[in-house]
Amino acid sequence: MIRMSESETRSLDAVPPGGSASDARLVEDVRRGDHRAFEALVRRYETRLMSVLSRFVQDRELTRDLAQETFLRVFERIDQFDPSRRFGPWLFRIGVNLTLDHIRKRKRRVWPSLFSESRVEKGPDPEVADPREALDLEQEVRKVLESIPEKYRTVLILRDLENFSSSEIAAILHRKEATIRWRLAEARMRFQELWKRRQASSTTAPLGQDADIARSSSETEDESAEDLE
Amino acid sequence: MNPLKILNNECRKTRHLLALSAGNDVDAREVVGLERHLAVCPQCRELQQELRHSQQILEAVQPAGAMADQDFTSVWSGVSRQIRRLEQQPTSHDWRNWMPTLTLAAACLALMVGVVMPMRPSGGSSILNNNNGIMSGPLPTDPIGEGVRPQKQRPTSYSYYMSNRDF
Ligand SMILES: [Zn+2]
Repeated sequence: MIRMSESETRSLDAVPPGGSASDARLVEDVRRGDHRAFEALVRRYETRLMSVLSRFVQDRELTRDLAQETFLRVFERIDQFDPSRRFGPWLFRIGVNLTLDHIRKRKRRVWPSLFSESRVEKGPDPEVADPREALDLEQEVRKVLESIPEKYRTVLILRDLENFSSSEIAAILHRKEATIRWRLAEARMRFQELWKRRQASSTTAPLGQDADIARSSSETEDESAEDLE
Repeated sequence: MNPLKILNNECRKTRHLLALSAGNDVDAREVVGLERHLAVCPQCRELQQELRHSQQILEAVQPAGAMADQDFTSVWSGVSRQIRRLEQQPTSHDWRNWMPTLTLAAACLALMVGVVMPMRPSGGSSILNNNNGIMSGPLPTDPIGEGVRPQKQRPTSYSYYMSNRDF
């Protein structure tokens, strides 16, 4: 891959907080009943986890609740974790699945929060000429993303907004890397198509209509081509 | 073969690679193939431009570190509170852990009752009162009605084997 993703700096295998102990070592200690080891894992991953989950839910408190619930589940299932695998993807898988389940249950139409409440609260960024413009762009993008089917949108968010590598996403979503690449390409094409339509119609046509067009044009094709799993 | 059709098939294959290349998710070999096709296909060149543009839009709205690190206060206190609560309910957990065993025991008991009760003599003397013990009466699974006395099982343990072994 040409792209040197930021995942190098924001890797799943985050090192401290929690000292220099490896994830595997900490997991081992947690299994022996060491709560401090679990605290180290929580502190090591919580920022990254909440950053990822905040892409999926708009509400900051909800993000925290989901992160908390994720860690609790991890604690409950720590015995089920395969120590020969990496801890990070396992944790993110639980978190992303929990969040997607939550969204499905609530059937909220407030899809991915590309901007957090906190950022809005912070007020205008002096580096942005017109903050309202930037906000509008974010809202526009969010609306387009909302109309992309979940399985593509999830990959798009993890790759293009959270900078996970394809192999990391494959580990998180428990899919083959080829499937992830397929979904990523599909997601980008759908985004491009919807964005183009939206710009062309200057918001005169309802987006849902666009989405339907985009979906009907390639859904059948994807499903057959995506049998890579 | 229709050259236009070949091109269309090529375009179809190229679409995905173009989308991947918009985010630099292609390897060197794929780039070579892409460039070869783009050199002869104006439609794909146009699509490439559009994909690059939409990718820029997508990445432009990406706030550096979405929710900045300092926006978060640690969730550990909440997590540890929930863990403590979880660990304070050991009885329910123990109960749940014992459920399969208890179910099995109940099933065995029910089976025994089901097996023993139909054989209860109508005369009233209970099998349980029989000096030969509970298993001394004829068993329902004994078709000939000989009755099955509890036979002394020959010990099969290693120690028995060793003690009776003819050296
Ligand atoms: Zn072409």
